[in-house]
Amino acid sequence: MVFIKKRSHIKYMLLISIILLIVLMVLSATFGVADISFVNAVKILSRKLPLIGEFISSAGIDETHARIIVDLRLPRILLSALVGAGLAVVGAALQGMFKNPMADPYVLGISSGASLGATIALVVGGSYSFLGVGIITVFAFFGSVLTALCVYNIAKVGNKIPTITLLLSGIAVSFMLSAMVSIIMIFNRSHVEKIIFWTMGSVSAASWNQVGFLLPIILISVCTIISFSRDLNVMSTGEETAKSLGIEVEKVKKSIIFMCSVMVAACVSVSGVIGFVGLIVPHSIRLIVGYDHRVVLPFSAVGGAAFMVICDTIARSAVPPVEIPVGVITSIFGAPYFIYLLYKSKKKVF
Amino acid sequence: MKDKKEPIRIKNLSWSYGKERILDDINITFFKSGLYGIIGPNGSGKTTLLKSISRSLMPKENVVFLGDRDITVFSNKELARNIAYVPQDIYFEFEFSVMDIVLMGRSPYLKRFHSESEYDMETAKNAMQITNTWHLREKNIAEISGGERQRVIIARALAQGTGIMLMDEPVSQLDIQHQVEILGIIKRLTEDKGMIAILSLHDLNLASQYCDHLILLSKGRVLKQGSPQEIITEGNISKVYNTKVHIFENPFTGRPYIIPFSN
Repeated sequence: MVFIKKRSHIKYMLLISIILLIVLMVLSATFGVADISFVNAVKILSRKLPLIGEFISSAGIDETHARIIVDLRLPRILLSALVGAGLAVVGAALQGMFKNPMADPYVLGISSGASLGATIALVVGGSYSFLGVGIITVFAFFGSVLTALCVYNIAKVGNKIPTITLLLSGIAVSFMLSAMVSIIMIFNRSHVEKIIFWTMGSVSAASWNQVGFLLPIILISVCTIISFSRDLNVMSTGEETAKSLGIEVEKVKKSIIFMCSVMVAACVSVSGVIGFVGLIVPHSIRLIVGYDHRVVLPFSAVGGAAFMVICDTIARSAVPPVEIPVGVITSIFGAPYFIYLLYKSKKKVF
Repeated sequence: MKDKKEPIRIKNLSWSYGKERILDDINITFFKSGLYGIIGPNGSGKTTLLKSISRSLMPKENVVFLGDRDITVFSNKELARNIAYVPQDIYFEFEFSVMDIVLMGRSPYLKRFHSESEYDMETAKNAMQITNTWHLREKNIAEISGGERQRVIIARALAQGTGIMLMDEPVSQLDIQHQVEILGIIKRLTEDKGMIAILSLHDLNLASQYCDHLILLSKGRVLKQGSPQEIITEGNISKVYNTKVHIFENPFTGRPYIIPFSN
C-alpha cells in the first residue's frame, strides 16, 4: 500500500503495539518461582511511577514480592526488551542496506569480537567491575568496538565502503576471532563451560546498571537509524540511483554502520550472542507490514522487544530452577515460526 | 519544471579504469532543449560518458560544467534538482508500491525529518499522468511488466523536476511497442517542457528516428556529432561498426534508415 495514505493508520498501530508490549512486560513480571498476581504486579510497578505512584495503595502487597519484581525481574525484562529492540533494528537496517536477506547484526563480525573480549575477561578473572558494570561486559564491549573498526577499515576503499567487501571482511575477521576463542578455550579447560554459556547468550545477570548503560545507547541509535528510513528506501532500489536522487549514499552508509556497531556492541556485551532475533524479526515484520523502512524499523523495534521478552520469560520459567540460555530459546522457537511464516505467505521474503 | 535547465558543457573529459582509457578528450556542449542520442559500438564509452555527466563517476575538476559551475562542487541534493539520471539496470528487490517509487523522485527536495507535502504528491501525480502510470499507483513494483516499470522509472526521474534527464539504454530491454512508447514520451518532454534529454541508444534506427542530435562515439572519442542525416551515413557507420550497411531515407520521417548486410 502507498505509505503516505496509511501514515496516520500506522501511527495508531504503532501506539497499540507499544501498549501491548507494556502489558506483555507486566505479564512477564508475574512469571517465576514466586507466585505474584497480575493485579499486584501492576500495583507494584505503578507505585514506582511519578505522579500516579502517590495514589496507589500498598494494601495486600508483599514487600518481598515487590523486591523480586523491582530488583530482579524488572531489570531483566527491560534489558531483554532493549536487546531485542536493538538487534531487530540493526538486522532490519543492515538487510536493507546490504540488500541481502541473510544479513544479521553479527554479519560484521562484531559478535566474535565480543566473544573474544568476554573470553579474555573470563579467563583473566571475571569478578572485577568497572563503574558498576562487570569486567566481562567492559571487555566484550571493547572487543566488539575494536572488531567493528577493524572490519570497517579493511573494507574501506578510498572514501567508499563497498558492500560486498564489508560483508566479506566481516566474515573473515569473524572466523579468525572465533578461532582465537577456541585456542584460548583449549588452553584454559577449566573456563570452557563459562565461556560456552556466555556465547549462548543470556540476560540472567541483568541489573539496573546494565539497563542504565543500554537504554540511552539503544534509544539514541534506534531513533537515528529511523531518521534514515527514507534514505534506506531509496538506497534499496540501488546505490547509483540513490546517489542520483540526491542521497549522500556513503555518508548514510557510514552513519548506519556506526550506529549499528555501537548498538550491537552494547547488546552483545550485556547479553552475550543472542542469535536469530536480528534475522527473523525484521523478516516477519516485512511479511506483515511491507517493505517501507519508515514502517519496518519502528515495528521491528517493538517486535524485537516483544520477541525477546517472551523468549526470556520462557528461558527463566520453563524448567525451574534450570536457566535455559535465551539464545537457545530464540532459535528453538524463532526458527519454526519463521518457517511457518514463509510457508504461509508463499511469498518471497525479498 | 519550466526552463530550469542550464546548459551542460564538457571540456576535455578523459576517463580511465586502471590503465585502460575509456574516454579520451571528449568535448560536447548540450545547450538547446531536445533529444540527444549517444551512439557507438559496445565498449565505446557511452555509459561512462553518461556516468561522468551524472557524476555517478566523479569527473576531474573543471571538466564538466552545469551552467557556469563546475559539476564537482554541487552537493548530491543540489545536483539531483538539476539532473535526473536513470542507470541501465534497476532491480527492485524491495516491493514498494509504484506511488512510493515515484515519490522517491522528490527526495532531493525533502529535509531529513520532513515528509512528502501536498505539492510533492501533486508533482508525482503529474509525472505519473504524463507517463501513463497513474492507474498503476497502488500496484507493487515487482508485479508490473518491464514496459510499465520503465515508464515508472521515467515518472520518478520526472518527479525530480529537473531540466536535464540522462538515461542509459532506456529501451534496450523492451519490445518495439514499448520502445516506441517510451521514446515518444521522452520526445514529448523535450518538446513540451523544453527539457534536455540525453540517451545512450543501441538501436541506430530508433536513434535516427527520434533524436534531434546524435553523438557518435568510437573507442572513447567523439567521432562526429550532428543531425541524424549528418551522422548516419554509410561511411561513418561502416567505419565505426566495422559492418557494411545500406542506408535509405525512411519515407515516413525523412530520416536515414539502416539495413546491415551480412557478409
